[in-house]
Amino acid sequence: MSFPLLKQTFKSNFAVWGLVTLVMNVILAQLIAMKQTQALVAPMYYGMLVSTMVALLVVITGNKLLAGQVDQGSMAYILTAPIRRTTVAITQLVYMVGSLVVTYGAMVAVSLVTNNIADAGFKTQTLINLNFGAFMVALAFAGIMFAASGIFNLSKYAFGTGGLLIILFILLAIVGSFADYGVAGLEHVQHLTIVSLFDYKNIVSAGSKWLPKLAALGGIAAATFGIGTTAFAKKDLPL
Amino acid sequence: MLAMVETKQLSKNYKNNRGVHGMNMAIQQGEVVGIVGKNGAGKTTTMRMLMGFIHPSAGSAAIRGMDAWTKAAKTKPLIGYVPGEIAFPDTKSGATFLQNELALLRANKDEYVNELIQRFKIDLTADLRRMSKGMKQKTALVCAFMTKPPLLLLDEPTTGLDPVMRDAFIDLILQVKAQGTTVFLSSHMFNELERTCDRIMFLKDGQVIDVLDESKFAEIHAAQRVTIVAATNDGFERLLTSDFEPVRQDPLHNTVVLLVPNDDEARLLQLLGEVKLTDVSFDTQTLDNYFEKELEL
Repeated sequence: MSFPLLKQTFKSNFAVWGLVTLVMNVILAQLIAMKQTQALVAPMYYGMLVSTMVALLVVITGNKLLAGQVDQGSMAYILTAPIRRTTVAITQLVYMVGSLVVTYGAMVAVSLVTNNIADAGFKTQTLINLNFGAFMVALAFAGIMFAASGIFNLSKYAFGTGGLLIILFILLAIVGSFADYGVAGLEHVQHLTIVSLFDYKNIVSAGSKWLPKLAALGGIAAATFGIGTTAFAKKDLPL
Repeated sequence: MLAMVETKQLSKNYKNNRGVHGMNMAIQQGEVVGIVGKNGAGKTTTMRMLMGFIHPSAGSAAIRGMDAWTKAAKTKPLIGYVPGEIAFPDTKSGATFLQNELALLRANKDEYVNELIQRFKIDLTADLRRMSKGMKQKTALVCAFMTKPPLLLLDEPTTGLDPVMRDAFIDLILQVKAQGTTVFLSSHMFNELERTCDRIMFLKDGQVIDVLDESKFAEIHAAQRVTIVAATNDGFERLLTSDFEPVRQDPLHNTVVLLVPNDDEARLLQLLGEVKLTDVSFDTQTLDNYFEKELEL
């Protein structure tokens, strides 16, 4: 890992990360704090909003970490330094994962504190598990975008593959969620999206099915981060 | 001693026979070597392979004995690089950019960096994204030179520089050359490389088709290009039948450019005496003139 690079990556991505993290936390606190919306925290926030908002962050940042800089040409200045390409990719990966850990860590803190102050009645463990599950979705999204960013030299291709796939997963999750509101036939749609591997209903009902499903998301993340790093280390760079 | 740069049958095949095909070269420490070719001849591809940015289809490139692809990170402390297309990262000013780059290179800002900045008259407070092409080029040059690397790989380093800055650049190359730095630089013109280079390679369609050294430079300069405008078409025809090689002709304007060796003025004067003239002018033959057909100037 390269600390000077990590520092520069942190600085150049701070604004987008900070804004999305702030918005995600404010909305979460709002939903937990208000009596009328407490019932929506699980199905609306964790079922839909959280993944949609983080997708924005992940797609923008993921592209910028590798493909964006190759496309722009500024990657030349990183690789002029005696840093291996694998090290560059791993440093960017560490930033991506690290920034998401902080985002969801903040959400754990915000949800617990708000729950306490507003006396919303969520179990502490439930909130922790919900945030952990949402984090795993974000991690899988990040991996997918990172793989696209590592494979392609042009931003448009990274957005067109990784970004599009993530949006598709979210749209399918939204369509599939109507199965919960009476359109039973749409239940199959839920099997088409990785977002449904975050089984928030099972977490809320304190079941045991949700954890293995999250492991699958972890597997997707590990594989795609690996693909991105390897592809970036081996490909030709037009710099 | 190991060559600073060595390529063996270095090749990169792209579509339509583009790329580099079987390039063999060795650059010793302290040499300044130029590579000339028109757009698409393979100059940038060569540079990128030396930088380890692209993988050769065949053959190999080595920097002081280290493979440019597999040992890319290890060769980098030896190299200062100016890419063919300058694009800076998203930082505010030139100062921040250089600071970031020094951090990546694990070096500190010293006197020499300031000297370079002054030499090129760079305004480091200017917004990096709004800089003119020339200003970007100068900032990129400072970036490549600032750690005093023993090898400089410069891809068309003078693009966008005004004539004064071009001279400043040439002075800088001569200065680092005196300190034993090896320089490999590319251009699409010979003339601007001639003052600095020990050797110039001429690249065409991915192959080195000629290598010029100082004796060849002198040989090329030992001829005049005489542009003669005849008053009549008969005169024009007479000029074409002379012993001198007509390097260019324009029947419409009765104009002929003849190549005249420096010690052959007597015959030229005799020829000029036979023809009614409108205009005559002399130019020493340059390397670009010499290669004008291949360069399609």
